[in-house]
Amino acid sequence: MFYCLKFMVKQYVVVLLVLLSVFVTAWFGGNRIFWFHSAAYENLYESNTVSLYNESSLTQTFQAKYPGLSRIEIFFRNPGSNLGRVKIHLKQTCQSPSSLVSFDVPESQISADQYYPLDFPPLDDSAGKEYCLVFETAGIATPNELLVHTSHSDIYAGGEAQFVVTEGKNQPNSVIVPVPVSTVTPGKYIIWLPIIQQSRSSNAKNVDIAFQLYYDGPLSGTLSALLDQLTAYKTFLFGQRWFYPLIAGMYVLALVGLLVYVWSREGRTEL
Amino acid sequence: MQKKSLILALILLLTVIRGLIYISIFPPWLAPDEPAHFEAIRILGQLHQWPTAEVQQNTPMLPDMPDAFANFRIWEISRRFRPEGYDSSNRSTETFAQYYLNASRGGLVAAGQYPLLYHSALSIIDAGIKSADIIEQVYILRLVSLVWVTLTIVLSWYFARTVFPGTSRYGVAISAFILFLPMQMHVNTSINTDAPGMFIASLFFLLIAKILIQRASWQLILATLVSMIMALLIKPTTLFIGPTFVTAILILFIRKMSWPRKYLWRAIAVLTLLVMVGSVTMFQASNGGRGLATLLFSPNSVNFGVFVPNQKSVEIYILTIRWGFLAFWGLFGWATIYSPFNWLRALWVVCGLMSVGLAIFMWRNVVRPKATALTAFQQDVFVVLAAGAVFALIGMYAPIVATQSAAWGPAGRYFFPALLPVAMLLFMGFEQFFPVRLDSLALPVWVTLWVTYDTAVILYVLLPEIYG
Repeated sequence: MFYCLKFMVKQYVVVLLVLLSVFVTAWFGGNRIFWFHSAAYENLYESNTVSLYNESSLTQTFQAKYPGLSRIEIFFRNPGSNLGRVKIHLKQTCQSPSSLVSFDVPESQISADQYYPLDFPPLDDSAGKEYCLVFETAGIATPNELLVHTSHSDIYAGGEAQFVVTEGKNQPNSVIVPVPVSTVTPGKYIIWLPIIQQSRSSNAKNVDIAFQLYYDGPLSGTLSALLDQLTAYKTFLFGQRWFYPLIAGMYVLALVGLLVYVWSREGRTEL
Repeated sequence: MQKKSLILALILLLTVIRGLIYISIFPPWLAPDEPAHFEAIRILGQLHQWPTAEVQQNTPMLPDMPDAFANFRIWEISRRFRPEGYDSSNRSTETFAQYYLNASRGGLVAAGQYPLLYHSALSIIDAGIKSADIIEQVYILRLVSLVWVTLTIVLSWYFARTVFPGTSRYGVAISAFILFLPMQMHVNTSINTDAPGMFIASLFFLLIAKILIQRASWQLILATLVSMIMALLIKPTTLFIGPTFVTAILILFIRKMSWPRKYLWRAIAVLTLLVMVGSVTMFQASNGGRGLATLLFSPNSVNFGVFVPNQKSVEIYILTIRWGFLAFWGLFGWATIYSPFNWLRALWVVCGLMSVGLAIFMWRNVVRPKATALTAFQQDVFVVLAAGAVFALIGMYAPIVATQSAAWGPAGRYFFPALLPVAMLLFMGFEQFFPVRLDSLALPVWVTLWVTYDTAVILYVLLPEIYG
């Protein structure tokens, strides 16, 4: 019995040391968390669309919640002739003359009804910052050749889309056109989610395009941003930053204790 | 302290910690029907009114509620449009019924349509926290749910120890399954009737095990009957324990008469058929099952034509089986945060294998017990467990058959009152794939499997989806 206990304690310490070393290595070795993402609008639900063509422009503001913003996916519809190009700029503000990153995408590369990924080197200082996506086109003369899926209403609180049509080139008067309501197009996964029934909103002024953000940020910065998110607006213990590392640490300890016991020779024979 | 008590203490510690983790990860309101249950409790406890639909239509909601929904991005995470026009100018008159029903399919929890035993009990606590911040109120009520979950784990442990007194193996196995099932922890640490429903159903199974294995004292039978009534007054999805109780009575009767086992199988087959037909027709006649608690029935709604399958109904059944599986293993919040479909495919395989193993186990040890290690009493318990799981499944899918519609889901949490028998049966099936010399690995692999799935869900699904 004493030997078994000693063996268990020894195993316990070894497992803890391994976990601790993995964590410390990750922390100081600059490891990154790459699976966080913000889904402003998924392709699971019915959607609306706006046309990208030479007389239109589209912007979408958003806020990055984590460091390491490294990918933006745009949900396009492409029934067109594939002769034009779309230029997408990531800017600090929509009015910025310069872009943080720019993409020049041939229309032919954009698949119908799929997210198109825009990958770029991680922006490690992106946590909490606002950005703007600006869409421009070249060689797309008429509407309905290349479209971007949008929401019916303002489902994303971190920013909004602006759809502007300029009547004729170099005309000073631009017109903000309300996004027309299209026929309902259920997403391909709607069959998985039969009870989703969204109510319609009467407010069609503020829409958002269908986009998703992906992060590949440093571990410490991502965890710090996560703690900010976890504690925001909460009260009681759940609003305290110290509570989360404490509870996670206790959980790991207890979990390791259980796993060590059930895997130990003593545990396997006694249980 | 004995080592077995130490293991139980460790499991309970894990339960409490995991409960706190799930309570903290899921922001207030992001649980099935949680806002509606909260409002019913608030009206009972703080306003001292019976929360009928009429009262709810005329009772202003707490003014901080729309802000709380907005701050925690509930509408965004739930992929629903935010209700508009709920600004600070009219908050003294806006009701929760208007605010919530405009945007959510989840209905009100109203007296006359829903059993309110759970809400009445919690209203006593709620009355004492009236002056607390709305978010604090939510957390305090959620902590009460965590108490139910912890007690359920205790019952599961003692259930296993009752059936297998010589070992803690099965106590660890079923506790670990319940403990590390992410949906269970999510749903049952929120404000709703699922947590007490699962507790009382687990108590029922413990009492039945004691009756079958020890002896049928009148105290035990009385306690079982009380637990059945309490369960029905808390959650209509516990209705399956009625026919499960009948199964136990049949076993005791056939045992007393010393009749051959084949009579039991025949009786259970008839009972199953009756439950199937009865559940569907009762659902049709009782306004979605709620009439069982409110005693409001409409027999004219019964339609036996639903028992004849056609192409459309088969498509609906396949769809809802897939949906039910997803909803049991990983469909969080307001049914919009889900485990990756590849993980679910792997779980289909694991569950398929466990079902095959379970069939082998039942055949070898219960149906044709030639060289079984189980006593006759233990075999009886497994008959009750299997019957309970089947009746619970029938109860889950009765609304689908009754309405011939996928709109009823079913929610995976409707199966949680049967989690104790399901955990035990699945582990027995899982064990069958370990040859005798590797038998000691079954439990550690089992525990590690569910710990791995749960950890992956927390790190890769819940945190990125809710806080992304």
